Amino acid sequence: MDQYFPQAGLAVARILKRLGHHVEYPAEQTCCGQPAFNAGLRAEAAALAKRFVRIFDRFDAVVAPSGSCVAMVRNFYPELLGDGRGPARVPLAGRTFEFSEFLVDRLNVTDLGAAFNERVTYHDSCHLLRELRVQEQPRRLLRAVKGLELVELNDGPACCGFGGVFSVKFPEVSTVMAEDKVAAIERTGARYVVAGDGGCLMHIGGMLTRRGSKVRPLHLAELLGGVA
Amino acid sequence: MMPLPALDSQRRATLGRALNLALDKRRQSVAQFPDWEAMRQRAHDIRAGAVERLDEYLDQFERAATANGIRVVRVATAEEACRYVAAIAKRLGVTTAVKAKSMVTEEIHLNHALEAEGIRAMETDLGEYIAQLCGQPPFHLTAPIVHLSRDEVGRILADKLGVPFTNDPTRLTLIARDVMRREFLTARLGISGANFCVAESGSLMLVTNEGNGRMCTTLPAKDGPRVHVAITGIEKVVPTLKDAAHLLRLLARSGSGMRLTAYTTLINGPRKRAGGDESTGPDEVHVLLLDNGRRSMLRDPHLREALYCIRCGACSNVCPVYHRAGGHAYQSVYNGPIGSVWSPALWNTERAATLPFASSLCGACADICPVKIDIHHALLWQRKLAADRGRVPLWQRLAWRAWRIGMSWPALYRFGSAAARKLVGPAVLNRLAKPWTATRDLPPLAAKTFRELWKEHPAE
Repeated sequence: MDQYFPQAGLAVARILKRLGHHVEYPAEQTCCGQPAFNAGLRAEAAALAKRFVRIFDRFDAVVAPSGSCVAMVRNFYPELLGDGRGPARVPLAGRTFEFSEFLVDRLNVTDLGAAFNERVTYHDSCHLLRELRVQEQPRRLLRAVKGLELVELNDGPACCGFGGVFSVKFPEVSTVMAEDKVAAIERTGARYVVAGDGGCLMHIGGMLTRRGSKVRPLHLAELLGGVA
Repeated sequence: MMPLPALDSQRRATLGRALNLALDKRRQSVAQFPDWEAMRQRAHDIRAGAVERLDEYLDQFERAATANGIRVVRVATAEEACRYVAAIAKRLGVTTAVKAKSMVTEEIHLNHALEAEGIRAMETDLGEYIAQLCGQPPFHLTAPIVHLSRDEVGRILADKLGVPFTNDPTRLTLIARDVMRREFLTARLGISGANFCVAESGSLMLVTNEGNGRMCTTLPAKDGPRVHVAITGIEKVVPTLKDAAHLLRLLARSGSGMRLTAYTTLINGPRKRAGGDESTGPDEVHVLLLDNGRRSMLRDPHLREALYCIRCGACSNVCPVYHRAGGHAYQSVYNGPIGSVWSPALWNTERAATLPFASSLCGACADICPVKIDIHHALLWQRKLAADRGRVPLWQRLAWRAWRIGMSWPALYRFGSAAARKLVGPAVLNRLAKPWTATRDLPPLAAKTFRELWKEHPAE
């Protein structure tokens, strides 16, 4: 988010402020540790997890526009920070939310007054869909956008092939997965593919531009924040 | 890390059609059960209960089976299991054995071991038979030649058996049946696996679709003693027949969408001699209960769940990696998502250690698993074990350490992101990310990071 999708981060802050919330960005934050965790290097991941908890523990809620980071904190921190006999108690895990679920489930907001006169398709990021069970929330937000036509992808819902280091360690399989994803996106006739995870957007976006596609990747928060 | 190549697009299409058909049929089949989730949970609980008290149920199975006249043998390793079967073949003086489809016999490479002793093991599951004719391992847990087209199967039979080419499934089946019948009528050694070992009754449950498995376990030969050997993993035990019946309801539906396989065989022992009421059936039934690394999974709370597997193959059917790479790319008897959990527990090899990393961790496997194994989380645990065992090279471990240090000091992080933009630049970044950029673009770094923008306009 910091490096590739800063506008999505700004959109999240703007939307939350507009809804009357006090938003802070602790500047000392970096990474939740997920890449090292997925690489099997749990000691490195745990060091960053402890750091994350230390920085964010003072807040009522932590909102991230990234499904996989939230899944890391909520689903994997207790195991990662456990003492070997069992999972640790990590209260912050229960207060960490993905952007769309925070809006819909916590704030009961679905209509942000956004307008977007385009045909759009939504990509279910695996971590949102299967770790956080966030499936309807982004769709409800999108359906409330004036002028937006939501067309469903008809592919599974399938993984885009990113998978963090997987995309670099197993480039052949990962590439074919991305090609199939992009083909499914193009079949919808949408102009934009919207997702709630930076990794998928990078991967899908990288395949879209390589294939000279006119479809653009777009983060859900950016679309709702009205900067697109 | 060893590579996992993708199949060519034509092969992917053939495979994809077959796997998607199985998934569609499964979906329709499952839709008839509003309580499917509860059925999965019950199946999970049955398997969990069996595995938690494994030794107790194994003892109970052994007592009951022995009372039925079955010889139960515990074997620790693949070699031990193979030696046992070879010894039986020698005692019988046979040079041919007929085999029902069995993944455990693949796991221990029984056919090779028997061949080394001059004994030919003939696969009689149609798919396995064709795979054996081409000298290939099974491509899929339940569908050994799912990747082949009808035309290819026709050419293999024409080529290997010298019969006229046909791609008509019925005629292909009849050709194979002709070959097999001759073997069945004379075979005195039959080898099978077991889908379940029922502790309360000491019975073996076997599911097949062609009925040939049943020919291997009943052995209709007229002359000489006949022996059936079943080789199965220690984890296949279930407490009761009722439990096995429940698992049966999920097994075929999950794998192929069928309500049941065509044949469900319950074996309760050798032919009864008293009163001469049974004219068919083997004189001896041996059950080999194989460990071969399973107890290492039993001891690890993060891997124990993988032992619940009932080998339905649904996780492979749904896996996006399996769809693209295919079963042979794994280079492991157990392939697909659950195979990548099992393989490193069974084989301490570089190849097996690679497999848990060959997953995008999308989690579709865990969602489809009829016994609710958290497959992708077990893969994450196997990655940790691989790193603990030094399977992650030193330079990578050092790189991750450097990354962690960079992420622990905001000043270092900021320096890194500024350097990437001002000193390194997109051309070098693209070259560094070659495995990615060879086939995909790397999106450009944003001109300014979020933290820079936030610092400029915190109140926006």
